[in-house]
Amino acid sequence: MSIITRGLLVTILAVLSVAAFAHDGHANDTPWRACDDQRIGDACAYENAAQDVYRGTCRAMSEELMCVRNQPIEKSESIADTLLAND
Amino acid sequence: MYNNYRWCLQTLLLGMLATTYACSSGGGSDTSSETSAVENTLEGLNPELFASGSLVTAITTESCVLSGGTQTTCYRIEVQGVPADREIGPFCPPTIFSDADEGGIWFDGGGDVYDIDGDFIVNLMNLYADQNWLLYDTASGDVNVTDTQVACEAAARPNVDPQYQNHCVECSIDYYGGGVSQTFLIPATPVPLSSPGSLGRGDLGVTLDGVALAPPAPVDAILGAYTIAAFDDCGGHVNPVEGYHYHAATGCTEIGTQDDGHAAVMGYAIDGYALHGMLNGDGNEPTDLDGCRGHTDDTRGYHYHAASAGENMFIGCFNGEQGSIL
Repeated sequence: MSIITRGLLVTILAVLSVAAFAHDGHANDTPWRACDDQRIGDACAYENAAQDVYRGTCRAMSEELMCVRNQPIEKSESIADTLLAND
Repeated sequence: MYNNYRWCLQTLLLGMLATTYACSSGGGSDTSSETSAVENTLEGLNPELFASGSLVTAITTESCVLSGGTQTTCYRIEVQGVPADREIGPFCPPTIFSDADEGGIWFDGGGDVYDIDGDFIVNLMNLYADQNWLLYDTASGDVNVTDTQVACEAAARPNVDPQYQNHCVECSIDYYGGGVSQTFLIPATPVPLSSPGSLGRGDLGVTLDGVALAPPAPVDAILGAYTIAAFDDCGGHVNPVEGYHYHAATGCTEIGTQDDGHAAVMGYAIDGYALHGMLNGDGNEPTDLDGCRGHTDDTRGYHYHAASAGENMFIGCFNGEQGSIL
């Protein structure tokens, strides 16, 4: 095995070993995913675990776009009550 | 396309004639088609709102150059770096049997705020759907806490030392002289931008109790290393570089009470606009906030409202030219 090949193999194994310890972030990435394929200022929305709705616009945060809420949080109970009232 | 560094270079050339200049990590306007929502600026920063004991020295004024190149007068505000009126913490609970009073809070930007109690520690593997989470000793129930300065400094950084994975990260402010003071130059009268400017990676303002307002916590890196960089119940925590700083508003610093029931002032953004709490006295949020989370009224002029703690942020952008942090 050449030195270059050996070095490449070591590098690959090192990268894989690091990947085994750390994992990709954005564990809760809904505010970022809400701005996928969007531009600054575009409207966006996402839900939290309780299905409350967060509406806002896409802003740059640490050089990534994320949905920044600028409207009151829409509580899931309120949404459900509205739907019941409209039935 | 973000113009942060181009603005810094242009402003640096202009700033050679100015008394004071520092290249802040915030920039001027983004090259977007948005226009500023600022309708009027009735008043600027009120130095008298800062809490007794929050300042290292009295607030003074001096000439300064803002991020957009405007030469104006700024307030020099040197803060203690720890709240003037309370002790910080607690952060990490000691055991998996601890209740909420023994730990702080956690938020990851998804909207929810979690009490860091024993149950939270045990259930991390469920919360993040990853069986690799194990922040405690299964025999004793003790939580793995970075309880030395060495451990703190090895874990409270983007590239967490692998031996401190699966730890609750906290740092004692005593390691850093009881507080890391910072000096802010904030325009006495805000200068509106033609279109909103991005926050950048630096601190975005200062609270009335003498603590820096930080950008969103890097939860990707924190969680990616199987750590929880615990916040106290006021949304702040300590790292070796900044000392204690806030990443979200939980109501602790809203001491600038408003006579008309409007949300209290909690601090000032680095562009000089006031930052108020999220909720007005009636428990409701404003309904007319712009993309930066600001709006205008006849009493206060343009100002911002902080987002909820679960959103891991205060505001979305700057609508004014920014001062600097020395």
